[in-house]
Order: sequence, then C-alpha cells, then structure tokens
Amino acid sequence: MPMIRVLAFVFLIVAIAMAYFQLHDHPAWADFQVPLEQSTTELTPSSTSTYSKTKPIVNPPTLQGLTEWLPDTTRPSLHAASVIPLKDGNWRAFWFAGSREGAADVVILSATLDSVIKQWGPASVVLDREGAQVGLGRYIAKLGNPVPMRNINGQLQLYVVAVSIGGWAGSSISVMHSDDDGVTWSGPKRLITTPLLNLSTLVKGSGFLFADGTMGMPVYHEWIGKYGELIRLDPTGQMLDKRRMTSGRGTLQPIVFIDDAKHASAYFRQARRTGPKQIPVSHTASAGERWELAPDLGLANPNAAITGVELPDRTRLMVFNDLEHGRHRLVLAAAWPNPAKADSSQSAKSNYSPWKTIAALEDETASTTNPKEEFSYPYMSLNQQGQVLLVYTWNRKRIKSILWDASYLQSYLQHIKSEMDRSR
Amino acid sequence: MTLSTLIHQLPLIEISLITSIIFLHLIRATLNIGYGLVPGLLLVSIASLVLLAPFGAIGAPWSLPFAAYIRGVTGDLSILSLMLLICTWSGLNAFRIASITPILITVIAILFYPFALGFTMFDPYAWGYHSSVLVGTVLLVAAIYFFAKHSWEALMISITVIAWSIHWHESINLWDYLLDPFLAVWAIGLSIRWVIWGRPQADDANEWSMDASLMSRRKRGRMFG
Repeated sequence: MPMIRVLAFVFLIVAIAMAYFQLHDHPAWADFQVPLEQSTTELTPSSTSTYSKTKPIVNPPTLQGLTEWLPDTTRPSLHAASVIPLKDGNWRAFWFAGSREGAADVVILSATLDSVIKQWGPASVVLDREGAQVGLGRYIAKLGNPVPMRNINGQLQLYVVAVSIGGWAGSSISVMHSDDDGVTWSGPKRLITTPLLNLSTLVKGSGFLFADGTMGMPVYHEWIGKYGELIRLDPTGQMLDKRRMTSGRGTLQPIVFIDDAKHASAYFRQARRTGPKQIPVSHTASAGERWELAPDLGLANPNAAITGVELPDRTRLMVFNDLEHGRHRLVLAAAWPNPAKADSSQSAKSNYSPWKTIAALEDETASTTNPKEEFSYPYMSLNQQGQVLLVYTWNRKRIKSILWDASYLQSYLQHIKSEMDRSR
Repeated sequence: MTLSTLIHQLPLIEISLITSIIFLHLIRATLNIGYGLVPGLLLVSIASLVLLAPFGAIGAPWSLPFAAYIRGVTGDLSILSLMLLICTWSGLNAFRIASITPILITVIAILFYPFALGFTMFDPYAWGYHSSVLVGTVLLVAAIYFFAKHSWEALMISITVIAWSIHWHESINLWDYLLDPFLAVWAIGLSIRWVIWGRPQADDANEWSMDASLMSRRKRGRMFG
C-alpha cells in the first residue's frame, strides 16, 4: 500500500530530525559543585546574646544546642521532617502528619524557626491529598517524605513522595516550587523515574548542585529491589538523567558527601535480610555518572535513616541510630578531613578520619517503661552562618529540633579532635 | 475552558479514549456484535465523556473523574501501545503487524525489566533519557522495518520518537514511550501463541471481513478489533 509507505517515510525523516535536536539540546554530564573552603575563623556566631538557653563555654566544652519542638497540630502521627535555611536567616521545616502513617488525611506541613527569638512559628499545610490529586491529574492515596532543595536561582523546591496504589512501594516523587521561600507553592508535578508504572521511587536525603547549575537528588527504590539512585534534574526540577548507586535489596535512603568536583561518597540506610547491620557505602570518581560499592562504614545501622552535613571547614557530621536493633538511641558522629592525604585523586575513604561518635542525642536504652522508644528519620542542614539544625521524629508523636551555633559546635569539635590527636 | 486547562486535561482525555476503546472492544467481543467505524467513534466519545465527567461536583461520593483513578493505577501508556490499540480497534484491513514484532517486544521486555528494576548496577532505563545510541538504534530498527516493507511498524516507531522528542507525556525517557508493562504482557502472550500454534494466515481476513467475532480476529492474528 503506497500511501502508508509514504507516510512512514515522511514520519521517519521527521523523527530523525527531531531526535537529533532533542539529543543536541540535552546538557552533558557535569562535575559536582564544590563549596569554597572557608576558614573556621571567618564564622561568626549568630546572635549569641539571644542564645539564652545555652550555657557559656566551659572547659572542657560540651555540645550545647538549642532543643525545641516543632509545632503540635493535634495530628496523632507525624514523621519525616526536613529543614532548609531561608534567605532571611530563618529556617523552614517540612514534615508529614495525619491520623497515622499512610492515612488518607496525611498532609505535608511546614513551619519556620525564627533565628532571632529561636522559636518555631505555627504550622501551615503545604500540600494535602486533594491538592495533589488536582495538580497531578490522578488519584492519590497518600503522601510521604518531603525534602526541600534550593535551585541555582535561589528558588525553593519541595520534593514529595506520593502514592496512588499500594504501600510505600507504590511511591513516586513529585516536585513543587515556591518563589516566596515557602509561603505559597505551585501545584505538584510528577517525576517519571522507573519504567514499571513509575512505581517505587522515594526521596529522603538532601540534594546538591552540579557545576552547571543542574541538581542531583539521591533517591531510592523500595519494591522489587531496595537500592539507591542519583537523579539529575534541571533547575526547574525536570528529570534529566539518573544513575544507579547500588543494586539488590539491601540499601535505602542515600545521603551524599561530596569530596571534590569528581569524587563523592554515598552512605545508606541498610535494609539487608542477612549480612552486617552496618552503614553501606558507594563511591563515585566520575561526578556521579558511575558508582561502585565500597566496604561498609563500620558503623552499626538498624535499618534506620541517617543524615549528614559537611561544615564549612569540611568536617563532616552524621546523625544516626548506632544500634543493630531498635531506634532508641540517636548519636552525632564526626569525621575530620586528613590534611596529609588531601589529594583530589584519593577517594574519600583515605581523605577522612574514621567516624567518631561525639555525642548521644537520645539514649533510652535503660528505659523499661516504653520499650518502643523511637528516635528516627533525622535530617540535618547547614546555613551560611555555619549553624546546623537537626530535626528528627520523637516517638512518632512530635518532631524535635536541635540547633547548634557555629562557635559552640566548632569549639566542641576542636576539643574532641585535639583529644583524639593526643591519644594517638 | 481555557487552553492551559485543556492542555492539563490532555493526559486524562487520552486515558479516557483508550479505556473506552478497550472497554468497548471487550463488550463487542463478548457479546459478538459488530458495528461500523462511525457508530464506534460515537460510542467511544460517549464512554470517554462518562470517564471524564466530574461526578464529584454533582454530589457523587468520589471526588475525581473515573479517568483519574485509572491513570492513578496505570500511569500514561506508551505511545506504541496507544497506536497498536487504535490501529487494531479501528479495524483497518490494511493494518497487520510483522510476525517478528511481538517476539522482538517480548525479547526486549524480558531483557529490559529485570535490569531496569535494580537486578544489577547495569541500568538500561537510564539510556532512555538521552542516549544517542538508544535513540539511534530505535530509529535504525524503524528504518529496517521500512525497508523490509513493514511500513506500519516504521510509522509507529517514528511517531513514538517524535512524541518523545516533544515530551508529549510526563516522562522524558524514551523507554516510557516505547514500552509499558501492558504492551510487554500482550507481546509475550501473542508470541507464545504464535510460536506454539503458528500465526494465522493473512488471507483469512478475506473470509471474515469486518466480522466482530473475537475468534475470527484471532484467526487473522489480531488481538483487538
């Protein structure tokens, strides 16, 4: 039939031309954006005069932080808090809350921490199920983990897990934008990240920037496989690419520490059926384009989420449950860059000191009244003043926050490090 | 309805049309009744409007149109699936796919899905974002089909690549335009039948013409319409 042949030929030529332009427009893979190293002396403790809840530094210093609770909204179950510094110096937190995890009435909430009075403001609803359904043009059963990210242009974005069918295995990620630092939000837009009905991609760890202004977001799958992936997004939050960080059924919820333009390490929540209950590790030497599994970190992990930040002096902090079972103990650990081996050709393994637990933030090991004490889903973020804000779920009933000022944190870390150096 | 509202509704309209086509085909096959193209188009339009109707606004206990629930489960179908469904349903006598096509889809699906779902560190799905090798291979397959005188496949693959290049669906991954689990299941079923029982001859179609019976269509080597 000649007509169909003519049609096929014309469309084939058009397809070749359009595919060429599409491939031509796609940005090439870029290096990581590496923050400029700052001297620790440049850090200014922010408004220490209002830091009334902390004690003055004594010798030996202790880890002084401001502990607060995120606003209670009378919703009985809440989880998965995350935070991001705002342009005005305050912080904004996001979390989900409802009658129970996975219920239809779960909403994504947000509140701000005033940096002057050091108190959380009232909570507001960022997204509910009905809003998600309208924005995504489909039935949505429940909402989950919200993770904020600031793009190269300073726009605040929120990556949210949404489920249409099944449990968390049926998740996909949607992105929302805010041009007023989180007061108002656009409708969500879905990211397509897997080929099988787009089932089972979730977000938990914080994202980072590539040198060309595109964004990296560590995500994970939790269905047939349990493994980590890196998705690459353009500044508007549109998918550009993705790369596998691990495979199989043993790793979840990656966090990424960037060493230099090419090197980075990803740490995971372990979800192994058998094998060591330790934090799994994956490395890249190609700016995230290819990842290789590395030996475990040697830190216990009970199949629970972890979080980390890198301070301006490149000291790394991590918060996790250092247990093989249960989540009743939450600790802060630090790793220091090793100047003797600070060589960009080296992997992070050899560039950093081993992780050292520097403080127990929660420890209910001795509690007999409530054996199900749970301190979980930590999320940590750093602002330009060097303050570190940690949020985590406290017994699934409240979200607790701890704010560490740069000066207190630095003096405590230096004290621990000098003690370590002395003991060598 | 503004243009932006209409564009926002396009995926729901698409899923409504396709669901109607499948639904009406199943009714047609089950009840063994036939109808022409124009009544068929009318029925599909009516069924689609029912699927798109905002029942929630007039007091129904469910808040979304039926199409939104279907889309919640299935997502957007691949362009290849859509075209196969439309071409087979429309009953074009000229439409006949090559014997190799379902087998090719089967082989690709069986190799693709385990690796795309995390079996190893090898991830063929990542190629779909911007791999010139994958796009080149797909276009080469289309060209081979064209020169092998299988113009339908060449046309369908070309339209698929065009749809990907303009990001017609939410996905920007070429695989999502080429393949979906429903297409894979269909291809696997058809391949098994053709390999075991052999493919029905094309000239059977002359005996059956536009008969609606499912058996006659199966004999002509068609799953739908």
